[in-house]
Amino acid sequence: MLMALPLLTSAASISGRIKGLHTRTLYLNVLHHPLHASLSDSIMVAPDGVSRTATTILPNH
Amino acid sequence: MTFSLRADRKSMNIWLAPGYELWLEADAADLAASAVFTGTGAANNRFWRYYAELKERPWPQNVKQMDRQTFVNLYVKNNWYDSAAKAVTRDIFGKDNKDPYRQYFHDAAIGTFAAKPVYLLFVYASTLELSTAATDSLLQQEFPNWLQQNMRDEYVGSYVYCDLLLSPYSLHLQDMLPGRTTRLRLLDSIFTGKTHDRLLARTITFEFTREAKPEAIDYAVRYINRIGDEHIREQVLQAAAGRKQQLGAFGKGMMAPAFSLPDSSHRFYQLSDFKGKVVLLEFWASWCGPCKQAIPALKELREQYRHDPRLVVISIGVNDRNGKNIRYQMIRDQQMDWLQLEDPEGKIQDLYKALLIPRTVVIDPSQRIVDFDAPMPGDPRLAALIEQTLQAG
Repeated sequence: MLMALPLLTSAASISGRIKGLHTRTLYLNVLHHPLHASLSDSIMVAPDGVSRTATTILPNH
Repeated sequence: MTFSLRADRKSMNIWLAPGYELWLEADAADLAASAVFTGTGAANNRFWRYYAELKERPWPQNVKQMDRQTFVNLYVKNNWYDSAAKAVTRDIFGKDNKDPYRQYFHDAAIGTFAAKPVYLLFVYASTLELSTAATDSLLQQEFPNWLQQNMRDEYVGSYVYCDLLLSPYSLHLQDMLPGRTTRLRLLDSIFTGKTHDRLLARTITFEFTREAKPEAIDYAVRYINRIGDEHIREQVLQAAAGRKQQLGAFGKGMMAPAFSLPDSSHRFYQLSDFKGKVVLLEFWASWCGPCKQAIPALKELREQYRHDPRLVVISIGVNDRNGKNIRYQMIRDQQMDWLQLEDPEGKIQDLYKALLIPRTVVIDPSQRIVDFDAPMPGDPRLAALIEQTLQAG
């Protein structure tokens, strides 16, 4: 099964397909940022495999 | 910035920078090693697949019996990571890489390799369940002045490097340096340049999430002003002001946030069910070490008031969906026979600003907050606070 993950940000974007996913939730965690030890965001993947959730990432970093 | 993408219990890292438009193709079965990036930013992100494919020396089955010096020689003092760092410099960050952020991510990659031996030492200590003091001694013995020697501004893009720089101080924090100002003073005195600014900013803002009282934020201002980078300093100041405002709206005397939460048999309980009693809430989770350490003292406290109808003890398990069964087992094994409720999404935890756990909250009979960051069970100040609230009620 193909899953799509479009992720919109104010500064950058990532999209793509992950084959063989069982979950409908993907998590995106910031690992390195001067102000956030761990800023996380989850992305819901819809039944058709396309995420409708956009997440915002702080610009300038 | 480095991101971790997690799905189906697998994870992989991604680097994003302004202007990147990445396309990812991967297989969930082996997320990191199968990932192929195309688009703007793909050149630098090739590093993560390279890193995932590097086969680490197999972790020995007999590590617990392994002589410490043998381990250090085999896994820490070899130069394998140096050669991997050289290869990655040549293959991924070579002259063909035209990405404008090449240098930044190159430094982050090299910093990640530089931190690897210390990481292995921590894994070893953790596998052997060494105490904090023994881990610290191992680190100091095998890496005398490692932190100072490896303090490189150009590595600060590596979260692995930054986390490991902070790790020895985290160890100290738990056992030896309980005062937050001591920790900040230490970081401030040891590090310089960008490393100083980033570590200080990161530590201060992390501490904000632990604080539950607005006045506690003020202590940090002196150290915020020590941050040399104007942009970072301004952001931390704004974060401090925001957190202070947020906490100021929540405090002693306000009505405790209402909740309706189920126990393990799906029976729901409301806070209002306990009106007229003093309520002690304890937020905890099965994966939280200090929460587990607090259980005997909480049991003792509960025992003390078992026949006193004026006090109700309620434990709330938070963010623990995956560990739910472990928690139930612990509740049975430890005979925690007081009310145990579930807050799997952490929604009530958020309402009570209990971002870090364990957190003890005392509520008076009129359901107003007495202390939403009360001393932990076992601390005589908690017993005094409960007695005082019972007397007042």
